[in-house]
Amino acid sequence: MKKALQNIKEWLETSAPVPGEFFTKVTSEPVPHHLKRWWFALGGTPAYLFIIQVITGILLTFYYVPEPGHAYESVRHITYDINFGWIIRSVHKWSANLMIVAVILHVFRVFFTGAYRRPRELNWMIGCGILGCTLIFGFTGYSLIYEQLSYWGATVAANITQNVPLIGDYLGRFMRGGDSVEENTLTRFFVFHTMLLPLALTLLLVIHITLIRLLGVTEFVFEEDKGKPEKHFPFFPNHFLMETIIAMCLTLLLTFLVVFFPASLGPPADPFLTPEHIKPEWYFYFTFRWLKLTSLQVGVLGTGVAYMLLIFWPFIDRILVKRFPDKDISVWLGVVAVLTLIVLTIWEAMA
Amino acid sequence: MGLLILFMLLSLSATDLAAEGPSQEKVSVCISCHAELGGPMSEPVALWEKSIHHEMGNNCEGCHGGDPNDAAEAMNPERGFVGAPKPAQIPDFCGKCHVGVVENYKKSPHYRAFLNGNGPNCVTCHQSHNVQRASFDLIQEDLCGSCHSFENGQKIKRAFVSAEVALQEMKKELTHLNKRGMPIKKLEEKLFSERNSLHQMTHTLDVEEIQEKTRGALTSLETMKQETMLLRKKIHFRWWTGTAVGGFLIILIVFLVKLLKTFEE
Repeated sequence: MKKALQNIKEWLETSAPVPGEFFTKVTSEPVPHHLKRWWFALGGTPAYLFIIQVITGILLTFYYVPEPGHAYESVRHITYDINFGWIIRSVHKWSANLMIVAVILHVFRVFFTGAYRRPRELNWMIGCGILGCTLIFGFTGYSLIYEQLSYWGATVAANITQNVPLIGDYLGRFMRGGDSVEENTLTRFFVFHTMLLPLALTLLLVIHITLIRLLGVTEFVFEEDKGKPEKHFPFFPNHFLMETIIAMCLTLLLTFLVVFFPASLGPPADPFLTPEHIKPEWYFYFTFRWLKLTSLQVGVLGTGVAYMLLIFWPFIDRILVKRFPDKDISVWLGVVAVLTLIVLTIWEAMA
Repeated sequence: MGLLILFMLLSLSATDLAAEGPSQEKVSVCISCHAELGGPMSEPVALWEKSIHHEMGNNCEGCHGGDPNDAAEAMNPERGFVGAPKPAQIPDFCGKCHVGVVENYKKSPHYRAFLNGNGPNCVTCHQSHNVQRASFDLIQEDLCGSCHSFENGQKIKRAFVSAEVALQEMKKELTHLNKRGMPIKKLEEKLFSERNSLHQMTHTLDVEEIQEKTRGALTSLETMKQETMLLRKKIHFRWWTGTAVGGFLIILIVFLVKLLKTFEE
């Protein structure tokens, strides 16, 4: 037995000549002491949820048919007829929602701790890309169900593109694959949701994590640690265990949501019957309310400008710090922005 | 930049945008013309706007035919236009869509009286343009008593209301089961067909047949209840299984936390 194991080890070393020290080095990276605080260790949660999304998403594509005549029926078939189909679909749905929450919370944490500052500006921009990808993921996935509300959500979103200056008409047609939401639209959303976005998000995540490893994690010193020498702890097993515990807590939450609030199905899409109330998913409530408060063009441009400000915030922040060195202008502006988002979201939810 | 544009695409606008979709509602020439005429000629439009027909998307041409998009052809008989029907034509006029209802109406004493020239037709109870959602509230002493005694009407109403209460309860139950992720399509279809055949019966006015039919519907609803009970059991099984998995995860988390503390020490 010992000899057999020795042979396997030798064969592996010959076939994949990666030195053992490499793994030791990778897994024993010193982690800053402040990451012992749970709030600071949430960066890994979107990645964990993304893995769940990929696995459940692949299982769903075994049965999903991206064609208007069959899409809704295939979702119904998955939900009610396939063994454990309801679990897979519910996990996919709730994990998507939690992933959006996790990414948003991570963005907030990075913003309010100023962890986007030099030399991490590029990584912040990559993070904003991850946020955008996650939101588009949510939207395209919701549209694939092809129930009445998701169909009209897609129709309205496609009509909105007409209001993008200069290229509106082209974009609208590109998104729909024609003049109205039809067969081509569903195919395009399916390609986006199952191929382009997973590829883009994987790439962005790899770059994001690589940059973290190259630049190191921003080190924070709290009041009680001031004057003390810098402390670190090993990535493996300490930090790895922490991330595992967070993942298990998420799994527990997912179990609760899936079992007590499983994914259901509304009426099928009817292109000839506009629903009385069209509402997007909760993560677009703020935009929806914003569009109701302004004209359509202002609404679309405002959303675009806000997103651009978020992407380039490290550079805007640098200007603000130069002009107001003793004031936390960024923090206060961030508080105002977050409160605005919360108020708009609650306002729309209660409408 | 591409991401920004895509992000903007995801914003949703108010429902007026949805109106640009395929179901865009054009104002028909019937409505615009009658509204302009004013006086009694515009009354049908105002009444129709408050009706169940309007709510369900049944426009002028649905009953009167003609072409609502072309003023010249709007009232062309060759395009199927029928103006206001004569009283004798009313049952068949409404029966173009409400087939089962008219079939039952034609079995009723109401129709027999109607053929003799003094019985009620559809619009007597339901009105013409301000057609309201059918309801058992229509069976009332004021209306029935204007022609005959309310005794049979009372019996009919009682039978229907008892079945209606059970139908409503079943509908609530199915909505609840749907929210809990249960397959209810077949049960919904069954409920729809029960309700439909029961509601069509209202027009036969045969007290004994109605009472028998409502008893049959209640028996059928009992069978459906058994099926919903099984679905509820399925939900409870899922809950208990989920709780067991949750319990296992909690134990695992506690173990991992203790393990982490051991490493930290």
